[in-house]
Amino acid sequence: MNEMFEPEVIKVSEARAKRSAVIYAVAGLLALAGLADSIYLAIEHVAGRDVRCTVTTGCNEVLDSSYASLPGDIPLAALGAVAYFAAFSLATLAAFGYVRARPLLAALVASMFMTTLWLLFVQAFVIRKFCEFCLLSAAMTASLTGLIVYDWWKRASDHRRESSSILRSDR
Amino acid sequence: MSSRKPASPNKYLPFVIIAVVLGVALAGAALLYQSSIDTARTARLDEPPSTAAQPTAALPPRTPLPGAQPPRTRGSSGENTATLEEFGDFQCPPCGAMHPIIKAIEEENGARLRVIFRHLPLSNHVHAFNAALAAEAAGRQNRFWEMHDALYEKQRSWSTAKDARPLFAEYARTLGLDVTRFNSDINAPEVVARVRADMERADSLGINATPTLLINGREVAYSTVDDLRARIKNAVAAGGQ
Repeated sequence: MNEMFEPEVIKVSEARAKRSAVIYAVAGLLALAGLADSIYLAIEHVAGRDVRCTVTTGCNEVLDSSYASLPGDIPLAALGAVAYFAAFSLATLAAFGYVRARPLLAALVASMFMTTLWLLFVQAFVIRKFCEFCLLSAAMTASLTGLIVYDWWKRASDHRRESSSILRSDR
Repeated sequence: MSSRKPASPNKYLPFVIIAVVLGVALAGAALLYQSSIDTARTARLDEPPSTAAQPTAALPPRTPLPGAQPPRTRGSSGENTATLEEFGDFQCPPCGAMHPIIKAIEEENGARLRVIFRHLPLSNHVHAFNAALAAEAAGRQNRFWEMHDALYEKQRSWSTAKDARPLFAEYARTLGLDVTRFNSDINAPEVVARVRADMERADSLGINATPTLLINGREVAYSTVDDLRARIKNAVAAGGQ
């Protein structure tokens, strides 16, 4: 590579790193919101309290259904809390430049997204009721997925542009 | 995590953030749990009187009915014993949350406290009446309290079942009951009559929500679990007066 391009490359690289840091910081904040939501649902489940909906009408039907518990009456929301905390940790590491956290986060968010799709299906077609706290969690997971996909897409397009630019400069 | 992280003075900062968030999440969960337990147990006291109960407020008080006799009693029957009477619904979540607290209070006060359970299955809980019948049917084989405890401890399992009766029969089997007799007793007129008698007692006292607790015949308006514990302790110290 021609040395005269190096300062420009460094600037571009810094801008990309900054963009990624912002994306993962936002992902971390979304995961925190999901964590709070999941902790609330898990605690209400364990305490045996009814969760009152203010927007939708099916909180109790959804949260008291067998789909809301894992074997041993462990609330599914507790698993969600663990997943959101893991997502927050990985997003934080990724925001600070720990690049190996990125694929782990992507894999985790992909599994969370698939689970979310299943739970939305259950609410819509099996229980036929919606719980707003579950919908909030679904929105968080969908947003996380969107951010991760956006970051991967931007880095892939950056990589393509960089490769073609190197090819041009080497001619 | 090993990585291609560039050298930075913030090397440990993300781990500090993660640790702080973990600590805050655990502390928040613990606080929320404590608050939920306290609120669940006192929520009934904050409820406004039901619209059905209001017209009777202006009427002269009714004579309290005795409820099922003999009542389902646990603990001492001595003269200087305080009595805690609970009107409960096996399917009501706050009653389920209250259950371990009452057991703990019983253990704390030992022979100086007698606990009476009265059935008040609420109409909005679809399996509550059948659960009350199941407890009474177990009572005919001298296992009322064992079934009472099982119903509360497994509340979440049977509450969400379409048909809870097979689960009740399963609990009866686990408790070593004669299941054939249990299934027969659950429909017995005497069993239904006991549950109805407790409900009529609740109605005569103007009680329409669960759990409602009476100490020595007076409804107790506690604000927290510690407050309830203190009130029962005072009643026990007064020797049931």
